[in-house]
Amino acid sequence: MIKVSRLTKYYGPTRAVEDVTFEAEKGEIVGLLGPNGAGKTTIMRMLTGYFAPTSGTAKIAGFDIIEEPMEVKKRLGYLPEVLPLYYEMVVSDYLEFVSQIKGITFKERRAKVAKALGLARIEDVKHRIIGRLSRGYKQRVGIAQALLNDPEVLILDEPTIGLDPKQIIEIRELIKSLGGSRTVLLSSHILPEVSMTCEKIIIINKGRVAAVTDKAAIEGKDRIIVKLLGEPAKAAAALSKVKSVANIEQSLEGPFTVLTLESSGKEDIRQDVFKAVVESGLILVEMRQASHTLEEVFLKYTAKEEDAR
Amino acid sequence: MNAIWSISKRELRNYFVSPIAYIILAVFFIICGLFGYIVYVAKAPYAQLVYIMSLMTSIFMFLSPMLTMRLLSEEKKQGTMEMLYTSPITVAEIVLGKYLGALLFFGVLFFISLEFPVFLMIYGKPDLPAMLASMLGFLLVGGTLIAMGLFASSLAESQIVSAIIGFALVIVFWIMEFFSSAVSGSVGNWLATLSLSKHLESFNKGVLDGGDIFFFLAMSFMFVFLTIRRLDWKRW
Repeated sequence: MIKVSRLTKYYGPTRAVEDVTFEAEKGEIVGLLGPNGAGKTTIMRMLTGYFAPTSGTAKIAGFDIIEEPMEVKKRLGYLPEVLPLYYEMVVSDYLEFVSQIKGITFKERRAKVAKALGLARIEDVKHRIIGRLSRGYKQRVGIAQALLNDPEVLILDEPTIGLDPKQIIEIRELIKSLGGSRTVLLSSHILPEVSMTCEKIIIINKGRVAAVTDKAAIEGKDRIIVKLLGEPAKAAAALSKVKSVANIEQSLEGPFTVLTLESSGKEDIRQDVFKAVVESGLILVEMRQASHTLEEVFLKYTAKEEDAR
Repeated sequence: MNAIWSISKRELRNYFVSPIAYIILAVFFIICGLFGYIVYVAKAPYAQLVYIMSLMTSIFMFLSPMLTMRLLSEEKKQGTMEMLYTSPITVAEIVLGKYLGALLFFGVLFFISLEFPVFLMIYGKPDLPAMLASMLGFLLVGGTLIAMGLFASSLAESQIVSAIIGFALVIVFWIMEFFSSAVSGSVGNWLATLSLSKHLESFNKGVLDGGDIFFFLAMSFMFVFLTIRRLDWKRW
C-alpha cells in the first residue's frame, strides 16, 4: 500500500532525509519512531506531496508520488503536526469546506461529513467554533478532516502531541479502530506511543532508517525484572539455571536485590523464574516484564548499524 | 473549478467574520462620503463622477494591502496551507480561489460605491460615457492592486510584512513614471509605461483605450502568475 524507495531530501546543503526505504501492507498500522528532528515529518511531507523529494520516490496505493500526485492525494488522508484548522469556522462548515477541496461531490458530501464526524466522535461539537474547542477536540477535528475522503492510506504526524493522558488513550483507541481496512502511518518520538498502536515500527535516526522492527522486540517481553530479598550472588546463581535466561544484571535497591533477566527464547519464563526463586529459599517481592526505553532501543539499533559498517 | 469557487467563498466569508471587512468598508465610505458631500453638495455641484472615482482609487490604493495581506500569509502561518497543498487541487486553483475571493470583496465595495453614480443620476445630468469609463477604470485598477497584494502575501508568513511589501509594490507601480524619469533612454520609457496612474488617465478623461484596458488585465494576470510560480517554486 505504501512503498517508499530511496527517498532523500536535502534542504539546501543540509541533509534532512537520506535513502529511506520501507513498505507498509494494506491494513497495517506502521509507526515512524525517532527523536525530534530525525526527519519523520519530512518523510511524511514528501509522501503527502507537500513538497518534492530531492531524489527517490514512493508509491501510495499503486500511484507514484511524483508522476501522479493527484491520484495519490485523492487516496490519502493527512493530519499534519500543526493542525490545519480555520479557527474562526464552525466544525461542520470546516468539514464541508474540506470535502469541497477534496473533490467530494455535492451528493456525497453530507453523508461523508456525517461519517467523519462519527468516526472522530465529534458529533456533539459540530456546531461549535473550532477556535473555542479544547485541544483534544481540535485534534479530533483534524483527524475527521483526514478521514473525509475515505482514504486508503492515512498519514498522521504526531497525532497525540499536546494531549492529556486521557485524551491520548482516546486518540490511540481511535487510531487502532481506524486500522484494519486502512493503512495507517503515524509518527511519534514517544516509544510507548508507537509500541501501543503499531504492529510494525520503523526507527528513524538522523534522517536514515536505523531499523525496521516490530512491537514485541520493542516492548521487551523478553526482559523480566525480579526484585527479591536475599543474597545477590545466591539469587543470580539460582536464576541463571532457569531455561533460556541469557543474561543477568544485578543491582541493589535498599534491602532488596534487583535482577534484570534477559531471555533468549520466545516463551514466557515467569513461571520458571518464580519456581526457581521459591526453590532456592529466597523471597520474591516483585516481578514484572520491562519495556525498553527509547534510548535503549536506539543504542541497540544504532550500535548494530555501526557494527555492520 | 469547484475548488476555486469553494476557496473564494470561504475567503469572502472570512472577511466578514473578522472585523477587517467592516473596518475597510467603514474607512473607505466615510472618507468618500465626506468628500462626495463637499464636492457634490456643499460646494458648487459638479455633476462629474470622475472626482469621486479618482479619490476612491487613491483610497483603495492605501487599503488594498490590508485587504490582501492575509490571503496566503495566514494560511501559511496557521498550517492550513499544508492541508491545501496535500489535497487533490493544484497550486493554481488555490491562488485563483484566493484572488477571486478578494475580488468578490472588492465587488461588494464597488457595489456599495454605486451610490455615488446613482446620486448623480438623480440630482444631475452626468456625462454617462465618462461616468462608465471612470467606473471601469476603478474596477480594473482594483483588480490589479489586489493581484499585487496577493503576490506580496505569498512572500511572507507575517501579515504585517506582507502588507508592507504590498504597499511598497503598489506605491512603486503607482508612481513609476516619476521613478522612470531618473533612468534615461529606452529603459526609462519602458519603465514609464508600467505606471498605473498613467494608464488610468484615459479612463478619467472618459476615453476607453484598448491598450490601457489590456495593460491592467495583463498586470493582474502577471501578478497572479508570479504568485503561482512563487508557491510552486517553494516546494522544490
